[in-house]
Amino acid sequence: MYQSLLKNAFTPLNLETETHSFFFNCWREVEFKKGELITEAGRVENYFYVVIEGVQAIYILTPQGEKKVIGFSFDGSFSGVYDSFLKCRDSHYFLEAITPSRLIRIKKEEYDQFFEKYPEFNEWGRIAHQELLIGRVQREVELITLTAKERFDVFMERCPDKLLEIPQKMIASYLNMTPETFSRMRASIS
Amino acid sequence: MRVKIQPEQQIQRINHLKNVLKEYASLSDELLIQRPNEKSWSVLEVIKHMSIGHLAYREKIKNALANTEDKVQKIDELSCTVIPNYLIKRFPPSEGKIRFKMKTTKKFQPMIMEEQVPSAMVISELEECLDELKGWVDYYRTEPISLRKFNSAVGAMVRFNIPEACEFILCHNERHFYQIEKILK
Repeated sequence: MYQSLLKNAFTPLNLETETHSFFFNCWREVEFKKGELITEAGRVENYFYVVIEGVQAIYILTPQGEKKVIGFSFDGSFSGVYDSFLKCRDSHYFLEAITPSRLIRIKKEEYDQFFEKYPEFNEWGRIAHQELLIGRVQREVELITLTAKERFDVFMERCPDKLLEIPQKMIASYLNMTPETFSRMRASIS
Repeated sequence: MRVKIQPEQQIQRINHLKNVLKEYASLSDELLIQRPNEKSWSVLEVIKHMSIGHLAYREKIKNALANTEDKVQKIDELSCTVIPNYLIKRFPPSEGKIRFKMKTTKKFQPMIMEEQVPSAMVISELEECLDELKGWVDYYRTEPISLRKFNSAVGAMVRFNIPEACEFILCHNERHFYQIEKILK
């Protein structure tokens, strides 16, 4: 089960049903209702997820309790609070199902075993972490250097349609602008 | 300024207390039952007092959650009403000092015979209370609830709605966790 989803998510690995049976057998499906917290700040993230369907947001709270959205996961992407998962330490972030969500997940011990059992996972890990790092730096640069309008344009150009279904205030927070500004910009293009 | 109740923030604060409580579980019984002076409580007594405080609200909150007649909405953020706001604002310690010390009424006195009650039991009781508190908060962040008020544990003079009662319990606990830190120092 989930072979096609996993093969796509773990590109460029060439995953085979027989040689990678341990890998394919580890994943368990879980469902979350809209608004349910998948991971809470102050708890350790025990799982690494791949999204079957739905949108999830990862956010941090300011001392005043304001939510600052850091990223989203959606159909086919990885999900979870990765730093907490890797370091087995309390998460600073919340991961919330913004829409009803179905995901598959593995435990930390299983994730670690993939790297021990299958040397090719180290190559996947190298590429995945490179892309993660480049993506985070790019976002940081965009937040620092682009105007609100430019951030909006860049986001609209590359965001998957799925993300446009979620509450505007979450996207506005991700783009570091007020919901009103986001709403105004969105109205101007429609 | 009114205290703003924000459910996710409450959950984060409860998780923090749960993590600190876990650390207390690893302390020796000797340390847990040691009173800093004759008039002060031991760590274990403070922990027991927090459970008593929580239990005083259990039925009230359960009944209020069961009220399906005048449901309003799920809570994203809520400002405290006047009297709860006044009380809750007095809780946080300022400049390292616990302010507005209150005399504990008999009902809330932690009566534990240290040699008879295992400390692990006292600690796990509070752990269960914190889990229950988190369950209430998580309920009203996703399900509509009534904001009808009910009497606080000290009577009709102070009345809370559900989120205010949870914030009150949480602030009360945070104040006593701070007290424990001072005892251990």
